[in-house]
Amino acid sequence: MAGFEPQIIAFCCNWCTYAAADLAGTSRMQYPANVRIVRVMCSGMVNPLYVLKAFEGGVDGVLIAGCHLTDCHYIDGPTKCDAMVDKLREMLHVLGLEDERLRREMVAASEGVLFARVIKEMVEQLKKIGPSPFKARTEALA
Amino acid sequence: MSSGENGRKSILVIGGGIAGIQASLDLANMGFKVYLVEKSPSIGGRMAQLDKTFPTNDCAMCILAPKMIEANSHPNIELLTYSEVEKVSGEKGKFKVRVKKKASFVDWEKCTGCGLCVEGCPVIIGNEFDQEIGKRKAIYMYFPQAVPKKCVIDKREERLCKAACIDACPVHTNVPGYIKLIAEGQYQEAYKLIRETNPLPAVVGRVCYAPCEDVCNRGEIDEPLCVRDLKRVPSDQWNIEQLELPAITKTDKRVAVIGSGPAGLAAANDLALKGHDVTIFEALPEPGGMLRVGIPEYRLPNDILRQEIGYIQKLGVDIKTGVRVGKDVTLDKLRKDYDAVFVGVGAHGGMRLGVEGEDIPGVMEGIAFLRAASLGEKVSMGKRVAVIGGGNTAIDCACTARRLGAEEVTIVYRRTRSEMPADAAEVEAAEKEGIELEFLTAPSRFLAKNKQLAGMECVRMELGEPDASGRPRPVPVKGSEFTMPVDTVIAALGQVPETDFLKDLGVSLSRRGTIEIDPATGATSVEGVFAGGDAVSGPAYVIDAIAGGKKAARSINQYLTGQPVEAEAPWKEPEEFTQEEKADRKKRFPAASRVKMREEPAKKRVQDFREVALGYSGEEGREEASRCLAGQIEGCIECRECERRCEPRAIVYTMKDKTIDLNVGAIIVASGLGLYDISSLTEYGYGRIKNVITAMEFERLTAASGPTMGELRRASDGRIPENIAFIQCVGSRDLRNKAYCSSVCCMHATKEAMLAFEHHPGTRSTIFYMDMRAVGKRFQEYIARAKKDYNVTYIRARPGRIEVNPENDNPIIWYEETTTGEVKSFEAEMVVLAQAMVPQIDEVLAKALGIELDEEGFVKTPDKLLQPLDTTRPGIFACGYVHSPRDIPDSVTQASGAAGRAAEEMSSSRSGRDSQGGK
Amino acid sequence: MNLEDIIKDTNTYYCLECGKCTSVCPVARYDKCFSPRMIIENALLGFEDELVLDRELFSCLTCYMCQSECPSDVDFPVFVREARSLAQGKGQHGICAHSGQLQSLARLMTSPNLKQKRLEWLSQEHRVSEKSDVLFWVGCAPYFEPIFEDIGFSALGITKASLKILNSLGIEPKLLPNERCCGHDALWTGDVDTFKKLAEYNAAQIKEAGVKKIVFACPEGYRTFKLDYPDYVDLDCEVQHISELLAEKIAENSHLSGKLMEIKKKVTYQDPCRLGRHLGVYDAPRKILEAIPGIELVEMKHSGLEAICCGTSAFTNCDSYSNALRAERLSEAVETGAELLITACPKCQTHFRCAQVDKGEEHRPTPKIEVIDLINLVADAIGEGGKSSKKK
Repeated sequence: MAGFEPQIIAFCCNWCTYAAADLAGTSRMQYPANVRIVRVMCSGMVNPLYVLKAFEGGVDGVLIAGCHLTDCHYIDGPTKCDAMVDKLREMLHVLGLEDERLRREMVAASEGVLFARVIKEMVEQLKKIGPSPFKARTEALA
Repeated sequence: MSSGENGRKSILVIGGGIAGIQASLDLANMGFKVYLVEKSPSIGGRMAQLDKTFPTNDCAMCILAPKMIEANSHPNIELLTYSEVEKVSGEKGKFKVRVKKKASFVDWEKCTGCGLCVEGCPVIIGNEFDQEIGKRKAIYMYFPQAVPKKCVIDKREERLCKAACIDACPVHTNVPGYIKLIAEGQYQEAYKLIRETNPLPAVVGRVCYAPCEDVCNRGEIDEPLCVRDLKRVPSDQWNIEQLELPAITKTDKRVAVIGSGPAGLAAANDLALKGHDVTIFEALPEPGGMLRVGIPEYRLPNDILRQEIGYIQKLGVDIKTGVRVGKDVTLDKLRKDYDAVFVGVGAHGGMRLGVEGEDIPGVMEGIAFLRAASLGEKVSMGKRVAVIGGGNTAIDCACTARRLGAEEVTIVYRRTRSEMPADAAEVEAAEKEGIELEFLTAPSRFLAKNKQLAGMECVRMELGEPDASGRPRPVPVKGSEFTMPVDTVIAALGQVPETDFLKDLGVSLSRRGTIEIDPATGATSVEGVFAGGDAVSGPAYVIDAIAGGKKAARSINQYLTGQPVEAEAPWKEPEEFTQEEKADRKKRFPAASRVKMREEPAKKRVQDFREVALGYSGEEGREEASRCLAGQIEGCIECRECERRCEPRAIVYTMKDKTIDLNVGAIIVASGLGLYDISSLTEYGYGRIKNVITAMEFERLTAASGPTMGELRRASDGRIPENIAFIQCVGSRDLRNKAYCSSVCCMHATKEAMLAFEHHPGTRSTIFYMDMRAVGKRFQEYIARAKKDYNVTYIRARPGRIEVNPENDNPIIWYEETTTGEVKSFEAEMVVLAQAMVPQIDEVLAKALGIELDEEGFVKTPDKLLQPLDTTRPGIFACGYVHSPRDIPDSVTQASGAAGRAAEEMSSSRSGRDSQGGK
Repeated sequence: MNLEDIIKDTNTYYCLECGKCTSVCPVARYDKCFSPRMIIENALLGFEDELVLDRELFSCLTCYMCQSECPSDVDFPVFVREARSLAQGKGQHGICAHSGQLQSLARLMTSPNLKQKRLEWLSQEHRVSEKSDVLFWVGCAPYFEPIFEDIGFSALGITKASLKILNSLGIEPKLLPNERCCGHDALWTGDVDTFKKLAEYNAAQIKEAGVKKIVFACPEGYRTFKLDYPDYVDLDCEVQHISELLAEKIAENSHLSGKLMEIKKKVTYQDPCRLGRHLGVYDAPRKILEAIPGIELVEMKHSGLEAICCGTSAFTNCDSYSNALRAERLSEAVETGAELLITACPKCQTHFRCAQVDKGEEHRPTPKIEVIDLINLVADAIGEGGKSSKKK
């Protein structure tokens, strides 16, 4: 497992987490470069296929991060997101995927520090559990 | 010149359709002897079923019938209808053919094709010639123009019972026959059938003692049929006033009938039907005899009796009431004025008790009492009534007294209940009405007070040794006298005939006063005078009197027409099941008890003279009737009604299939077409949706000789459809059914659409077609004419589903309009399916003939171009639809071709020499 | 396979262009642009692009209604299936329902070293045996459970009931801990690669398990194993739908028939396309319903061979036409006067339940009727029903 660098896709809400990532960047906070951020308009619009497609594409972890419950630009996006993640988690569990590979966070625009910490933690955890079980499939296809 | 014997100049044609007829005629005209074998009872084939033929719209039968007749009368053609080829051996030039002639159960030498037998047959079956839309009888003529014009009995299995009922009945009524008709709800037919042997069905259905029920074979496995109760069903369910009058050929003979009771009426009825002029002389003010004055109204309503007598009057019988022969007119005069006399005066005389005080007012004689009550005369009825006697008359007297207001009615009988001659059920019914029974009691004296009856002294009896009647003789017990306080006594001891007036003429009488006759013919000792009924037998049953009247009528007819007066052949005795039969029937038919007839409740009925037995409802009647074992089989139930009617005596129940061996030189197969079973095409709902029919059914509906007499009507409501849809290729051009094109459907659908328009101008037809195949001379013009002049629209689509509009039973067709790609529905009032057609030859026949069939079942041709009419066996040729799909003109052309080939084969010297070479 | 091969393989050359297919097509009744006949005609004219790039290609329910009546025996559903694989190659995937997650799941399951936790629901009440030579196919149920929870459908409820019934028949089946998706949806949406891999994984596992018979509670899995696997893998094993097994046992008068308790209900039955027209199983479910005392079966206007599809297949193209079709079918069920709509396919149930969550339009509300699986009904009748909907 030495030298394994996990790949993470982060779906970040345009109004908060994406700004937090931006803040972390402009504030020169250090966090691992294993993450690719996909800006979405709301965490509530992330549908299960986004996540599944990411895994199909061979990523090792997926982060969905958006506003806190009461901060949503669209009122109830985070609630929708939570419900979706709950269901998806159950499915992924059956599929044999480790829980750590799908992470749900709420990160406000001002919480650049939190964003950096989340990424750091996630990379460490993923390094520990190793590559996604779907990676072999993706590599075989490629 | 024909010599069928060595087969060298004989040819066999299989199939009596238009192709077979054409081939036969051609060959016969060339001088060959032709055997034309047809499996149905008549030649004509499919063309006979058609209404019209395209493209000329000529009447199919008008073209076909002359050919059929020519084939029948041609000296060189021998028709073998109702026959099938079983085996062909030998080789070309000298085939040996075994033909099975199926038993028709009618001797065709004798049958005149009059159809009398068909009218009487009670068995109604789907008519295959009418595609089962119409019905036919078990004995039938294949179609009205059948050639040969002969009847056939469709007998499929042996009857399941012995029909002992017919044998036990004094008039041998066709019981299984009318019960079968009741089971089918054919009440009018049932009434007519009963009336064949019994002019008073509704009367007898109420009062008969039903000896048939005692011997009914069903009774051996559970309970006998309620034959008597069933007999009144037709008249209950159908208004007998509507019974039409038969055509009667009058004779110039006159018959006097004395007495209008059952015997007199029966004799008068039968004689009137034979055309004789009948006059009935009735002493009483109203006709009916004992039926009118001896049987109380609550058992036999006057209206019913009046209706049935009314019909006899309509037959031309004159009834003179209030004329007592011997008093108002002398018998001698009647003898002079009439050519024959029937005496049926019954037994209306009462018997005396021979007891002291019998003449006290308040003591009445039973039969006189009933007569007075029936005729509405004033009868003084007390409160406490004793009826003396144990017969049915006593019961009738008691119940009548009850209805006239008597509070206490007691029947006094000198023996016990088990010796009572009255019907047990009648006794029970009387008890229900509150009538008391006093057994082992006899009156010894009547007591008067103020010249009126006040009491009856009785004596107790005990039973002693059996007397002449086999019953124990009642012996008075000494000192057991007691007095019953009664104010009315009715003595119903028995009746005797009043025949004194006959003495003048020297008619010989018995000691008891009954008339002595020749039991076989009903003739008395005086020429031209006949007698029957109670006057001959003493008091007996209605049906026996009717039998006596009928027997005499038969003899009188013989006497009048100058035939020797002969007895009828004796009827066989009723038979019982064997042990095996009984076990078998028990196994096959689960026990089902009789359906009980409803009755007026006792409390209500004693209030007046309303009828007690209420009859069956139609449904109950049908249920009871369907218990009859004889009716359980398909086809002929051997009730022998046809045998009774057939004047030339052509019915032969014992006929067997016959084998005929033929020697022929060549064979032509022209077995025609069958209709493909389209039940697998469930999407069109055939058989499920009423207004979806096949094209052949449509032909039968428009044909003038068809089941609706040419009226095109819908099955669901009998309405004339104004908007008809035709669906083509139903089973044809379908890889799962028949891959080939049936070849004629485009044209016949167009023809049928035109016919519908001609029947009802304005009718709109829509034909759903795949490709319009108008391949033939003037066919395309025919289609164009349909569009232009006959309101026919063609839509290119094969519909996928037919649904039903529940409101009006209209079929709704779902289809894709393939020119636009739209899915549409189309509501029609009737849908006609162009059912695929198949060659009518099966593996069995092909094997018998030794010829091969192709994968679709058509006769295989070795070379389509060089030998197009040959089969795979030399000397056997094929033409018509069995050869390949084709229309009528093509079939006829091909038939002539096949005839030519066969003739060529026969006359080629080579084949002749070869086949005879060995001799 | 190229278009010409597909045409040859499916008898399409015999098409008479009669339109019988379109006239009975449930989709064409609502979707005026959809015509099986036109699709076939385009193919015969060689318009491959027009054929495969048209989204209508994915509208077909592959319900086999057209094929069951085609006079030329054109196998239109298979034609569509193969044409879809051509379409997939050209980037046309159809519109997947439920955001396509179910299709994605199938693809993910082609991963070689998968360690699924698909049997966690198994409890002590269910008796299974490693040594059994009968395998019970669990199928998608563990995945469906979370997805369809909100419409009140429990796929595992059917699985559990099936086990109870098998147990009561004395069968302790084997379950595969790592069975893959059967690939039905992948195959019918044209994703043949995925299907093939899934089939290979499953075939290998079954071979290793050494069972003689596989029992299905799902007609789609059954159809796939019975008719499609043999084209791709070697599966030396009998397959059977649980309704057939039950009907057999009832006919044999096994002790099961004595165990059936009375359920006084009027029910109607939806023939699943896969079980009915695809495989010809019409009688077995009805025999079972007949055997349950008190059950009165009333047929819908269209039943058996003419039964109308639940409206969606392979979780593709669920649109307003599908909804209209479902509403129509539900109203047929309601018209019978039945209290329960019985089906033998879990997917029919999801679709009928889903449709009823939608209230419909004001003037035309969605007809309402309770939908349950035949297996749940039987489990209720033998007193092993528990609660067919999920806990929580």
